[in-house]
Amino acid sequence: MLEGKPPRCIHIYNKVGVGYIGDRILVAICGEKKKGILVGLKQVQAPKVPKFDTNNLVLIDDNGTPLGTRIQVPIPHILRTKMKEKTHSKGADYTKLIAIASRFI
Amino acid sequence: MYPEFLPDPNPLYRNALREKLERIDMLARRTRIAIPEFYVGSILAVTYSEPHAPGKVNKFVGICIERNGSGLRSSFLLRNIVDNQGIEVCYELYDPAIQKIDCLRLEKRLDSHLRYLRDAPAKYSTFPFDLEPEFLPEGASVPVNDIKVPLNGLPWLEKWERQELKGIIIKGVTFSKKRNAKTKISAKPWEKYDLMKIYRETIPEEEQNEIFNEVYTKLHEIEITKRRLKHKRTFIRPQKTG
Repeated sequence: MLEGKPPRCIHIYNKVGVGYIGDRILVAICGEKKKGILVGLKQVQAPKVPKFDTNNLVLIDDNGTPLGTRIQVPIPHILRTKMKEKTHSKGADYTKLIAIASRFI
Repeated sequence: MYPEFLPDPNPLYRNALREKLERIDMLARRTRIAIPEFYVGSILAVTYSEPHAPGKVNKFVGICIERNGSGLRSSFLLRNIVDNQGIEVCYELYDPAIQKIDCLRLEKRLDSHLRYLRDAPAKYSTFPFDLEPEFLPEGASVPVNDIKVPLNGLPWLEKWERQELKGIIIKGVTFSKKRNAKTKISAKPWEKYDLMKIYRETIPEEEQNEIFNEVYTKLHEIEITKRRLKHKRTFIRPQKTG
């Protein structure tokens, strides 16, 4: 999201309360509540995991399908494994998010 | 040339036996992988095995903005801008997952760290991934790049004006009265004359010589074998087809 008011995180769906890479969060964006996946973080990362200059988010619906059709920023490779672990046969399906990524780093 | 062989000067973390064992391990790792000479400001390419990638191998190119740690824990931080997105990756120098470290451009900068590139325009930290390696003539000293980087406007990630950095230009930035006053209070112009402080933060030269004498013969041998291998033709595994 390059223009407009940046989205604001209002909840993180994990038990720590701190959003890490691959976590699902709830954001307030354009006056609506939307869910998203954290795909890049500003915080200090483990060795070999990229640290980004901005916090990046991909908006998804309840089934885990991304709302958009393209991801313009690079996606860390570790997200593949993280999202595969979180995908369940009858629950959320995050394979589409990985599929639309344009570049991995 | 090999700053990571020197231990942490803090006496709380000193342990002669551990340091010795670490040096043996570092030399053992160096016989397997060629770790080139590089400094803050050099451009490096790191090829490492990434279990999460489809080909299990990944490569990252970037400018070294910081070197941290000592011994086996020494690490360096690479920065690059890909698709208008600043990316930093920290690598541990003696990480067994690293397959190759290439120094694409060997040079020094004016400062001991370049973290201020985070607050500088994108062109100062953008490097193409297919950058050709530049070779210096044999025996030449490492060039110092005295480029001055203009910074973006406030807000900044750190208070760069307090760090006495030589490689930045602060222009068109107006600080508040309070910030200027605090900068003046926190300035410590006498610290460069504080011999005791320098003594506490560095390893004395006698001790350095002792350590380097210990590792020098082994490093020299590694250097010679490396040079010999460079002229040899390397085996390229044939690609499977069909």
